[in-house]
Amino acid sequence: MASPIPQRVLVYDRISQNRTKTTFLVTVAILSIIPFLGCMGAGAYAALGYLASHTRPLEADYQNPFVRMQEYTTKLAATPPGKLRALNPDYKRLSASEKKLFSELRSGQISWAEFSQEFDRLTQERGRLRTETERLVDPEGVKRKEDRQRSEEETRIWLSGALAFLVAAALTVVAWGLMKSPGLKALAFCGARPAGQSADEIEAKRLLENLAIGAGLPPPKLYVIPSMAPNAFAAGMDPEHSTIAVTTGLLRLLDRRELEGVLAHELAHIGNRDTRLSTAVFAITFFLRLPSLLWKGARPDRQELAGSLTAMRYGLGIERVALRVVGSPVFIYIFFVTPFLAMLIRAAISRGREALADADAALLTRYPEGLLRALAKIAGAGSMVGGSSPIVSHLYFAEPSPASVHVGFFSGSLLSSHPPMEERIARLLEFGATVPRSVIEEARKAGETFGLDNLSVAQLMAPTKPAEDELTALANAESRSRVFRLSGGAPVALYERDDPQSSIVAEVGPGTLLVGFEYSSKMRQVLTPSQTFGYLPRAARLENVGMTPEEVFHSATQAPPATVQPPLTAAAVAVEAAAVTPKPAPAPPPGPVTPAAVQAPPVPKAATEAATEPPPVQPAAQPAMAAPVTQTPPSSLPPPSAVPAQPAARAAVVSTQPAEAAAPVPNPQPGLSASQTLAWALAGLLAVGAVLMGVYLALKALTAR
Amino acid sequence: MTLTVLLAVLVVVALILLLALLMALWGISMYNGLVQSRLRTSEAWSGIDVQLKRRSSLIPNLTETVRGYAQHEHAVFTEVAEARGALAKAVGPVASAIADQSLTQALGRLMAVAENYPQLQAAAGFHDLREELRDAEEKIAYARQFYNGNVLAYNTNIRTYPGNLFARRFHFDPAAFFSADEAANQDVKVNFAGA
Repeated sequence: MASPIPQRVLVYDRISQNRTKTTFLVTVAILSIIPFLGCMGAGAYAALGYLASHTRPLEADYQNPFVRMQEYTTKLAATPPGKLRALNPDYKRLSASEKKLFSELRSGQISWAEFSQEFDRLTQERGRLRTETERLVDPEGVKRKEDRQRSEEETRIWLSGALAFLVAAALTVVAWGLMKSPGLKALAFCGARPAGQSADEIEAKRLLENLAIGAGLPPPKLYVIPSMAPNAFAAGMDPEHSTIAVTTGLLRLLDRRELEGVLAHELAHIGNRDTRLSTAVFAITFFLRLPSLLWKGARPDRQELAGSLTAMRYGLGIERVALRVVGSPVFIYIFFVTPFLAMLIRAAISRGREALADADAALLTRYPEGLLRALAKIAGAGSMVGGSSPIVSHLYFAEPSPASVHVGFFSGSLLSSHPPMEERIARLLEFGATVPRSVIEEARKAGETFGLDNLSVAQLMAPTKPAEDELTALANAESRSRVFRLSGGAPVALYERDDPQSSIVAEVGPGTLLVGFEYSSKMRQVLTPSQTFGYLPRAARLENVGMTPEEVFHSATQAPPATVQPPLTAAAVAVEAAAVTPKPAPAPPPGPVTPAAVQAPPVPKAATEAATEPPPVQPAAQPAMAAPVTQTPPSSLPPPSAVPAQPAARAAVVSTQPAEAAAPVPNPQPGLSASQTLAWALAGLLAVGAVLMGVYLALKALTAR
Repeated sequence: MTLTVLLAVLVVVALILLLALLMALWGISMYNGLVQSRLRTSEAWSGIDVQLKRRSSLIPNLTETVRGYAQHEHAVFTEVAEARGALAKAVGPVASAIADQSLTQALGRLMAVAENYPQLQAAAGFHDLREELRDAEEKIAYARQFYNGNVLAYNTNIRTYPGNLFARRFHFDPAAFFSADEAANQDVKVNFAGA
């Protein structure tokens, strides 16, 4: 039934080439860790050295008489030379040449930069002279001092080694914990449900079963994501617990053969253990990129960091200090070379695995044309799925997020997780060379028509979304989604944008459960139980509810889907939800929802706005609401969860908090138990704290004089 | 002096022992790999077997349904029944592949006959049966693909150096592809007894 591939040998060639390439890249990634660790170790060493030589960093600044002198600069300028001694107790400790320097500075003969340079030299000279004198006077004492210094040095070396090792270990553990099947959590948040409701889905399930027989794998579970963007993804760390999810758009757009190709591609990912590979690669690259991510993320802190550098605080020789920091090889390597290298390697591995999965799929179905047409159709329609994050984009069939990962000046295809569609199509053409160009064009046209009919403007226009790096995701995990109940008397309007002038998406009545996200926007971002995304004025009063978002969404889907329904009393929802899912052991602690409470990175506001921008047909004014939440999506609009699920999934993807780990409803196999999650979270926090501290100290040490 | 000689001898002996140990480990892993791929092949074969049986179990129902509308097409029914019997008796991939092919052909003729009876086409059960048959055939195709893929890997293993050294010594015989076309130039002995 399946037509054979004319170029079967070529497929085998490509597959083995890909395997070699992956091995090579992983080796490079692992090798690049070694100098990185060396640099980190050097940083830690310097930091500890700094700590050991000065008891307290701040006090250290003041141990320098020069610094104290500077504090009196203004006074100095106004004080006659005779009274200087009274003004500054340190003044009398200065040598004659140092005093001369000061007077030159005061009279404006030399600049600040010249002064500081000369003063440094003089201070060092004085220290050297003193040591020599001490050696003459008390040789034993000097020897004892040197011995002590040497032993301190040894301790420091050991400590820095141990620190570097600990950091590496902790990070790997954290990365592993975070990446433990991120897809499954993403699934739970996309509102995915098990397939099998319509004839389409049953057919897809059957196809998948058959393909699994061909691949010799246990058949994965099939889920359906309610989104019109045609895409699919595979999740699960091993074939026994794997899941494939397809969007409703994919089922509608593709015919049987094409769907078979897509499913075979996902199955190939599972068979090749790509989730596990990419988790390992993720751990490595995350580790390599961490310092630069921290550097980027801690923008306000950086000011302070710079401020704490004495020279900078007093506006002295900034250029010199900056050059010394930025120009040091350690800095360049840690902050510029490795992150870029890591991104490059990760993207290359990801792209290689995509190509491999394509080749495997062609081999499995023996019908590359199906996959080829599917690719062309998806290329035509656009494959962006709301709720995807670059962290999981390699699991998708086609790039789910617009190519927008930037590292410095580099962006685009070099860093994207999927090869360009044209390249994938061309490679498949190699295998099954008989497909005429017109077939591909036709498929692309069909995809375009589908996209125009079914996808929102925002999805088609490919809004530029700023890079969501891992750290942002981590921070977002911190500002996790919480469930609230709307209190107060009157219903509150939900706006479509972060702007009270924008149109109203829905109106929520008192007692409605809402899932809130803590982002730094003017209004609060919430999801209603029917997964309508909107902005709630901060004036609206909310109570904390000890429920997980899944419970809310699930209870909403359990209820009849009709838009008009009797207002759900919160108690009823809670009871229903409790019956469905066992409550997680540690309920989220109640707390204010202020964005200041967490270190929320600046939300890509423009992107969020663009992404949530509905098509212009959205009615500006909604009719009076009978139900707590009502919305009237015209049939041409995407289901509300398609776009708005984005922040939810982003928060969910890498989070390890108890709320999300507590048995996601659509998926019967939770990643972690509550206590495990707590342990992970604690370990993660500790590790991140340690790393932050280490990097901060390293920077400080590098820039300290 | 003697001590130095003794030491040198000891080092050399230790090196040789180490080398031997490495060789032994390599040999063991090689052997295990061959056994594993042979086991996989036979496992894949059982996959085909299951799917063939599954299809065979669909046939009585199908023939009965068709017979209800087309009593006079004895030739086709006999052909299907014979092909089914032959498949049940067939042993080994090659014989099974040939029997499977003739059964597929017979079923094709049966379906062609069914085309002539609009009432039969309209019958509710017939549609489901046909779908199920199609599914079964597809499953056989995939199972066959998996089996053939495994056979290819296994045969490559035992025919290429250094696997062939082990294969000859430990009697790893090449497995046959599940393919009727290959019957013509097929004289390999198939033996899963050792697996």
